[in-house]
Amino acid sequence: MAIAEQVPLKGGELNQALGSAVVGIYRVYLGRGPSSASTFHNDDVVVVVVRGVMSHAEKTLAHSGSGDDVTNMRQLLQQTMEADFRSAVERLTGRGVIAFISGDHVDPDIAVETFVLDGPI
Amino acid sequence: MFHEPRPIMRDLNRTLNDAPLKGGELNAAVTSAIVGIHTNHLGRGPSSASTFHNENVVAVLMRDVMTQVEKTISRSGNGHAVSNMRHLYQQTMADEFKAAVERLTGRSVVAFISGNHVDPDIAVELFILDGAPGGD
Repeated sequence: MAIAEQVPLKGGELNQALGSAVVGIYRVYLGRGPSSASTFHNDDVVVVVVRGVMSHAEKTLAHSGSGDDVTNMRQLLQQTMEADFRSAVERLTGRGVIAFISGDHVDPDIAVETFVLDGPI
Repeated sequence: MFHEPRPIMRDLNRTLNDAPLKGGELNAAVTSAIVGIHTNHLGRGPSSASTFHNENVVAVLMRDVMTQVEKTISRSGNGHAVSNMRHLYQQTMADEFKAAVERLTGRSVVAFISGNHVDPDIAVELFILDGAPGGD
């Protein structure tokens, strides 16, 4: 049984675990993780901000003026990872995720994963 | 007939000489500004909204933002079309959102990331600043 299931994490410890989980899922699906990530939560909302998520190929496309295509592709990738994201957040917070809202920004290269829970942590 | 959006009156008189807002006061001012811009452009505001910030990130959550038409379209299985349209709305309002957040935080917005969820009806506006708000 995982430690998180025995003693609920909170505060910075929970933020760190959430950030690690999201970064790990990024690595599994995309072959590489972001260069940095930070997580914070407030009441029933968890926000994970990751930086440096684009691959070299995506950066090349973005620099050539195809930033919208890169954003669309990243949205598809985030949708693909959604079930794993939700599962990790629910396991770590002990709450259900009622809404997952994901967004990207090309320059600077930042992605945000927002989770709205069914109650405060 | 189209009407020009009304200027946001709340916080309009804040100047660089004012003491920077911080904590819950800053959160409340950002919420008022974003909801005001929503209301001016879309004809109605969300049923509730809340803002919180951490270091250089400001997050604004709004619930029940959809119009009756959007709800009807969404119920007919076209939630993706509603999401796309709302994303366009948010892009249209981006400059005003950023200006309000920059005025209230005293920081520049380096990235604005906007998102929607249809059911439950929630919209999120996230602002990445060039540093933590001056008052915090």
